[in-house]
Amino acid sequence: MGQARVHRGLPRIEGTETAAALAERLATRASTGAGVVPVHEVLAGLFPSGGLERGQIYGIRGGASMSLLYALVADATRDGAWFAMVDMPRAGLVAAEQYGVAMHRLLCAGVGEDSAWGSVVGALVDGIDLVATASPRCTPAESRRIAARARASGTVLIVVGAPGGFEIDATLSVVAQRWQFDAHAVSREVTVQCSGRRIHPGRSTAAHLPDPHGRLGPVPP
Amino acid sequence: MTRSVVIVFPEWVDHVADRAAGRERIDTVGDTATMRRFEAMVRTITGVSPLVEVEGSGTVVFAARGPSRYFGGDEVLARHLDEVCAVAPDGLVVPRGVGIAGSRFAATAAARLALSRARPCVVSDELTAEFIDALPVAALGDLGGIDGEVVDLLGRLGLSRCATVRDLGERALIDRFGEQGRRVHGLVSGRDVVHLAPGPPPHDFAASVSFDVPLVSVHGTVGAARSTVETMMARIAGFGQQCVRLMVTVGTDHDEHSERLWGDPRGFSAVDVCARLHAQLSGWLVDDGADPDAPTAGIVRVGFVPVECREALVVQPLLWGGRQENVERAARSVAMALAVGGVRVGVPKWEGGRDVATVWSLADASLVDLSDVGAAERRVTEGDGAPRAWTGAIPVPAPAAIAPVPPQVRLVDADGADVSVTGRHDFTTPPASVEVGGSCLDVLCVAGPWPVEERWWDPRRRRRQARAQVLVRNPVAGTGVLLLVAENGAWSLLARYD
Repeated sequence: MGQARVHRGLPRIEGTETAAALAERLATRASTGAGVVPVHEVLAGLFPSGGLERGQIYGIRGGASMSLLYALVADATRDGAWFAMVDMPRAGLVAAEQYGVAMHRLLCAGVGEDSAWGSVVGALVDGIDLVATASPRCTPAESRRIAARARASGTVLIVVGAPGGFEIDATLSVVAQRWQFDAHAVSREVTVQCSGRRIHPGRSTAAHLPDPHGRLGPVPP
Repeated sequence: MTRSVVIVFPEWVDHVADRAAGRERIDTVGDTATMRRFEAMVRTITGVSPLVEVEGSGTVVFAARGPSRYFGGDEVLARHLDEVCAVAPDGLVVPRGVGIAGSRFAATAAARLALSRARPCVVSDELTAEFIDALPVAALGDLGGIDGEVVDLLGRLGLSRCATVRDLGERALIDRFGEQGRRVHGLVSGRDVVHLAPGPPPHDFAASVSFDVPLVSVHGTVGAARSTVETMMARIAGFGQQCVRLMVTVGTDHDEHSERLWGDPRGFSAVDVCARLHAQLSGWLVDDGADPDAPTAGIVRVGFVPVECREALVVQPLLWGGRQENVERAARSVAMALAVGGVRVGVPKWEGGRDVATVWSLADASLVDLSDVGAAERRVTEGDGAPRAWTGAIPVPAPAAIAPVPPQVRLVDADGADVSVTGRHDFTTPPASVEVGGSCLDVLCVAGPWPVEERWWDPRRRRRQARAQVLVRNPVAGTGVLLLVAENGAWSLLARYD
C-alpha cells in the first residue's frame, strides 16, 4: 500500500533505473542464470533459447566469421547494447554498419603486446554487454576468471577463431558459402551451424550473409 | 553588472566547439599546433590583463575596469587589444572581434558585431540595456549558454527580441523554466549570471596531484591526473552541484607555472576537464626552442580549483533525458580498461571517402564523453553535408575484413603472366588465378577494374589506382570474394569479403 503511494508520487525519470528495477533485474539474472540477448530472426533458430544467453561464451570458427559476428550482434546494439571488439584490426566498419550495427555503441580496443590482456578484457567484460575478441592471449586461469566475470555481469563473450584458453559454450560456423556474382559481388548464401555441449547436434540454418543490401537476410524456401 | 571585455577568435571558436561536440581528432599534429597557437595568443592578452578567463568556445573574457583606467578609456583599450590580437605570434593575421559593454552577455554580442564589422565595438553603460533589447532571442543560446530547448520554445512562443522576453517578467520565466528562466531574465536585463569577480572559491572541492617523477608528455600528464579529476568531479556531483568555471594550474620542477581559467556554461564533466588540461598542456609544453616562456623541466604538480559551482538541477543532462544506465556502465568499464595501460580504445567516427579502410576513423575514447548520446550520434552520422555514398566507392555489400597493411599478391593469366591494367582501365589479359601468400586460387569471375584517381590536379600527391573484385574458388568449400588494388603495376589484397 505504502509502496504504491511512493510509486505514484515519484515521476519516472527517462533513462534511469530505479532500485526496484535493479533488484528485479539482478533477481531474474540469478534465478535463470542469465537472460537472452535478441538476435536476428534468421539466426534465432540456431539457439535453444532463441538468442545469445548472457554470461555465456560463444565461438565463431571458419569462413565468413566477421560477417557472422556483425549479423549476430546487430540487433542487440540497435536495442541499446554496447559492443566492444578487442584486437580485431581487420574489422571492416563499413560492412558492420551495413549489417546494422549501431556504430555509436561500438568500441574498438587494441591491447599492446606487453599489456595485461586479461585485465583489459576483464574490465571490458564488467560493463560492456557484448565483447568480441580474436586470438585471446591469456592463461587458462585468466580465461576462467574472465568467464566468471562475464557470468557475473551478464556479458556475452564471443571468441572469433582459435578459442585459446576459453571453454566455449557454443560454436557457430559457416559450413558452406556460395556467392552470387553479377557485375560485382552481390550476395552470398551460407549455411550456419551451431554446435556445443548443451545444443542438439545438427542445428543449422540457411541465410543470405550478406544479402544485396549488405544485411543478413532469409533464404526463400 | 560588471563592465566586461570579450574577445572572440572565430578560428578557435569552431575548433573548441568541435572538441566539445566530440567531433575532435586528438593526437594529430594540427590539433596540438592549433591549441599551442591559441595558448600563445591568450598569453599575449595576459599582458593587458593578468587574469583572463577562457570560455569553452575560444572566447577570452576579463573585467574592463582596471585595464580601461590604465589605458585611458574603453575606446583606447579596445583599439589597443585589437592591435595586440591582430597578429598571432607566428606572424599570421588572426580574425578577431573585440567587444566592451556593460554586461558579459552584451560584451559577447558586441564582440560578434565587432567581428563582422572588422573593428572593435564599445557599448557604453547607458546604452547597454537598449543594445540587449535589440538582440534576437537566438543570441541567448549562442552567446548566453542557455539551453537550446528553452531558446527554441521562446522562439515558438513568438518572442523574437530580448526586449519581449524581458517584458515577460522574472516571475513568469522562473515559473516556466525554473533555474534556466532565472538565467534568461538575468541575461536580458543586463545582470551577469556569471560573475567575473568571483567570491572566495569553494576550497573544499579543490584538488591537486603531485608526481614524484617529473612528466614530460601531454598524454602522460593527462593520464596521471585523470583519477584526481574524476574523484573531484564525483565529489562536486555528490553535493548536487556542477562546476562551471575551473582554474587549472600546472607547475614544473623549476617552479614555472601555467594558470588558466576555463569556463563552460553547460558545466564540466570529468572528460571535459581532461580535454581542457590536454589543451592547456599542448599549448605550453613546447619543445621547439622558439618559445622563451616554454617550461624547462617536467611537470610535477597539477592543481584544479573549481572557481564557480552551481546547483546541478536543470542543466544536468540526466534530467533532459538521453543518459542510460548501461551507458554509464560502459563508460566506467572503458575507464577501467584504459587504466590498465598499453591499451587504445577507439570509437568510430564517420569520415567519408571512397576508400573502405578510411571511411571510418577511430577517435580516442579516453578523450570522448561516452555518455553524451548526442555527440555520439553526431560522430557517426555524416558531417557537413558529405554525401553518404561517394562516387567511385565500392558497391554494396562492403568487405567485412580489411587488411591493415595490404599484402602483395600476384594476379596472373592462363599462361602465368602478370595481369596489369591499361590506361583505358582494362585488364591486359583476362585474369585466371591469384596467388595469395603461397596459395594459388582459381579466379572464376572478375568485376572491374574500377579506376580511382585521387588529387589528379596535384602532380606530387596524385595517386592512380585500379580496384577489382575477384570471385575465387575456395580451397575448402564454395567460393570467396577478394578485393584487390593495383598501384604502380603491383597488386595487393585490400580486403576479403569474409
